[in-house]
Amino acid sequence: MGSVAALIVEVAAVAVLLASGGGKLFAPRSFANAISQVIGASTRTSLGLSRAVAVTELLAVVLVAFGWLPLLRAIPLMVIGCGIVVFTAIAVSRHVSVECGCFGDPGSSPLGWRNALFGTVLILAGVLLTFIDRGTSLGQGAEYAVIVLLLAAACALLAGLARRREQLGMLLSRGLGRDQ
Amino acid sequence: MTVIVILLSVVVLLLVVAVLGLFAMMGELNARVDGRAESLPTTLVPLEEARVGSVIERWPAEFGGLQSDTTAVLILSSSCTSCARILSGETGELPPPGNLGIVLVAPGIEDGVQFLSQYPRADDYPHFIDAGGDWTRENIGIQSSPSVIQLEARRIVKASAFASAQALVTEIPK
Repeated sequence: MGSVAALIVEVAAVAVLLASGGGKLFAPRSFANAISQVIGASTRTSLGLSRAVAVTELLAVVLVAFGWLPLLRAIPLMVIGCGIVVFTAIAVSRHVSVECGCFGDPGSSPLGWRNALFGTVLILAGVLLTFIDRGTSLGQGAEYAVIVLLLAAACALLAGLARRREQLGMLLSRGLGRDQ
Repeated sequence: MTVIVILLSVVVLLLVVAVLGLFAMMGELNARVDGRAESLPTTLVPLEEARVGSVIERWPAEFGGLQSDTTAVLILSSSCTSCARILSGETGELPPPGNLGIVLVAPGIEDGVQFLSQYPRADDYPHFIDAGGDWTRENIGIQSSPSVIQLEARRIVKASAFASAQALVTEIPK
């Protein structure tokens, strides 16, 4: 039972980090705008920080999947979760209402309690991973990590397709660049 | 588990990251070109390529009437659909004239005059037609429109892309 829970938590965490890291790496401007408005950083610094956060999230993906000790898998999640909670708290305390841009695109909702809750869930996921062991039925070490990565990649891809279904449908039916 | 399987998994992972990145870029593009005014983002997106901090040496004579040291200039283009919608008022009311100028990048002066003649509200603002876009490239360093440049004593303090006139309301000095 514990091994199934560990697999679900790891796949979910890796899928979310893949989507947010990949999104911000390629489209960093929305999150950079949020950084700029929340902490008052310059444009260049905000863009750099946005990309740095994206790289950190992608490194966390590798650590969560390949970490050979429970703490190595848990710490990245707790650090990123704390970062999200602190960033949201600063935004709320300064009464800044700005779109998060957490997944790269600007259509996300403004920073608020949802983000704080999401950060808290990541922290709890990290705590959970320190207490439950990976099972051995799916293999060990790299074998298990590859399964986690591929399952998470599939989940992230499907979620991305579902989220963009309207735009993709329009792209397929009307072609690239039409009416723009 | 062979090394090849691990390598293939890493390749798949990188491809997925790239696809997710493309989705995010598509969302960013979509937000800037979406046809519905209410769905347009009302935030400004910083332009990193702009020469923030530099002073504009060649100040167009058309902007002589801007009233204070704190001014803003919209960079629009005659070939940009969003710019036409902004000037037509489809995306909301532009900030009142006084501290706001318009630079219209057009292939030639005549093209610019013809474009502006379709949008009478442009006459309320001091405007300058930048034939070929040389002035904008040399003085501001950007090549995208619609954009807004905020200046203090002709020094660029902020340069951002925007998608609707609503986005300018809180940013432009009155």
